[in-house]
Amino acid sequence: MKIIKGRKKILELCVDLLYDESSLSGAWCEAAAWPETPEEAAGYFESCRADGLPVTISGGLTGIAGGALPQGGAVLSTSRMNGIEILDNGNVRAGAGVTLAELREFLSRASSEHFYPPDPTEETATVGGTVSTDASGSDSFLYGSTRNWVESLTILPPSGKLLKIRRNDYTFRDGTCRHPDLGELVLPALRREQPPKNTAGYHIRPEMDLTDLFIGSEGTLGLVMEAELRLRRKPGVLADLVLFPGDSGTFWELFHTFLENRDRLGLRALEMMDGKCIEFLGAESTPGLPSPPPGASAALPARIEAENDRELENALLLVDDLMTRFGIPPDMVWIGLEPAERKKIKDFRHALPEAVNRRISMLRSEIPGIHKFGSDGAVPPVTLETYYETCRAILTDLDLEFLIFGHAGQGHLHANVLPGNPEEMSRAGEAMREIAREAVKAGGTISAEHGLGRLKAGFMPIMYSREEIEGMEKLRRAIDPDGFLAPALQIGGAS
Amino acid sequence: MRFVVVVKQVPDTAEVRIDEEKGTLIREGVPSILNPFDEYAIEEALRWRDELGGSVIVVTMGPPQAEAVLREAVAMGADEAILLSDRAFAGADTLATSNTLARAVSRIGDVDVVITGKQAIDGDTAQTGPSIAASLDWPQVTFVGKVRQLGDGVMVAERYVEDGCEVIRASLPVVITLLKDANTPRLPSLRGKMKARKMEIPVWGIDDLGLEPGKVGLDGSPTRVVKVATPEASSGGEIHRGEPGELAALIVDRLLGGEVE
Repeated sequence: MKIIKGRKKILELCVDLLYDESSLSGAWCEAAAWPETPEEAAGYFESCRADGLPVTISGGLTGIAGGALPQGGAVLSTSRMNGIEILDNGNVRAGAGVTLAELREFLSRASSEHFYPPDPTEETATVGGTVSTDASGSDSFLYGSTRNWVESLTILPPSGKLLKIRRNDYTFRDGTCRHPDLGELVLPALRREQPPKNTAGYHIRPEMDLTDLFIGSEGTLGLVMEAELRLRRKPGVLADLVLFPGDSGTFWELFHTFLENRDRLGLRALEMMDGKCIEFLGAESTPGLPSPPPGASAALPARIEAENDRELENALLLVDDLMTRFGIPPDMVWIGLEPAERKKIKDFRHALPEAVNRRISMLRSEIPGIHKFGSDGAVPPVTLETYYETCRAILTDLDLEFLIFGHAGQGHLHANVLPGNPEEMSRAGEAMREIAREAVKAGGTISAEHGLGRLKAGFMPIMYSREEIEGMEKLRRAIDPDGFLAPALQIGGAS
Repeated sequence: MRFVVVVKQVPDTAEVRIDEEKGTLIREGVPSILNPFDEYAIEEALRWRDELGGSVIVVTMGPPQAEAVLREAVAMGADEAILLSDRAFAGADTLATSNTLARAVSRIGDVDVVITGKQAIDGDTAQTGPSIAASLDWPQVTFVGKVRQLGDGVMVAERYVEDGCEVIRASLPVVITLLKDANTPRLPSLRGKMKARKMEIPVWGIDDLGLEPGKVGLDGSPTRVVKVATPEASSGGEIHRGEPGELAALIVDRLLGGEVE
């Protein structure tokens, strides 16, 4: 097994382990290892324990909450756990280090009629990372998050004794589950049920499956070594649409009508980009990509899937009816059916976060330390308009430059702030807290997909009571009594 | 103003694999797409039509399945589409192809501007556009990066060449071949797509065009392919695999050690 020891050697040979997409700095560690087998991983756990080094697990380093960044101790990289095979039951078994791109490539080479639905955009995210963070992405509107596609897990808990947990093997009854190796696990009683799309705190449902406790636990309960994933039959046809209503009233009416007709339309994703995004894309146009049409007030990107052409035709006729009903001119609705057209629409959508990141990099070259602030809260979709207006009011009152986009169909918005100076950075931090509070007030979550990691662990008390947070900590200590895994990730607050 | 845009269905070269033994392209199972340069030609015609009025007619020569690219053009906003398809057209080189396309332009009639992409990504000859102009005996402007002015019997265009930009004034009718610099192609609209799915596309064959068999297809093609060869791959490269840090250290060592110039 490859092991590198010593802070200096780490900086020299694998400094990339200390950076992810969160743009957090200051990560460091004493050792790093790349085990390939459960035996090697267990051996590394043992030697780290002997050396007094806690372990942080590192996957594709695509996370934006800093969950994979160590604050001392040792790092265990999953990148060499890359076995992959199709099982007799039609599921696929993949090692933690297999990237989503590799998984897709493997399925396409196997000429599979099936695909793996979770698509959190980052193709270099790993199976282990996406399971540990319960990654979602825009198609989770129809397919749900990674959790829905995990059939079984191979986990190395802090004890070092390998676990294989299959769905329905162990379930919580009234918040309690007894496992021969893990002992008795007790879930904290929550004052209210966690929202459907949620990555804040451990997943907690009084009657849930034991696998669901590990999914989304951000590497604090065990190393996910391998996952058996369910696949889905590919749909016959896909269409990507972008609707550009001329005013915000029409935008919201259209949004609600799409939500109400989700089944008839075969909606796989329903997104939004607000007016500021449209302005931003117009000003920072990307070569080769069409600019938003003049007169657009916002964009409603939608993905439709259908079994066959006839079904698609019916869905498109319905969209056409809605265009007439809401008075949207023909050139204000883009559509992609051919792969090249669909790619252009995908690029158009991705151009926004990329343009934001470019702008931030430019700002950072002038003012070191400047970074983007992004909210990740979600509310029940029917209340999205109110939540959106509240976000806008908060950001406008604080005199910040911002734009808002996100997975509208799931009531999930990313309000991005581009601070121009350190003073605005502190106001942006304030805004993020305020927005998180508003999301919880509306019955939602402080984090729907990014996870809390190190960046937002301090937000936990906005959503959970002290008892609830203590309950989660107790649960963690039941599996990891001496804080061996991910010590930098403190439930309920930064370390 | 009446525009004809000449387009081509090509194999998606991003998806083409090579038969290692024979050194030839494996075309089986490779998706066909609208020649990417032609998208710019369509967009340019649509923009000028939207400004000046008139119509855009899109034409391609190919097997029946080539009508798919015509439907893509209609989805973007083209008014009409014509497929030139006949067994007699098979095996055409650029001369026979442009003879056939030029005849179609004549049959459409009252055409002011013919636009094509700079070249097709399969043959890469860039001959068809100029050859259509020669066949019609019209002026031609190739490698156009920008059409500055159009109307009143005149076109002014910028032609991007290696050492600069030529500004060319041409009388209409004219044939131009377009670079990607000219515009950003639009995405199809929903209405356009629905129109395209339903549209009946007329097919013109050798008799419709009044062409002699000796002028089209393989018989009308003086080009003879004597040999197809794969260039020798340059050798001497090394592939190292490992962690980025280790690899970077290896490169630095090699550079400092003077092994790499």
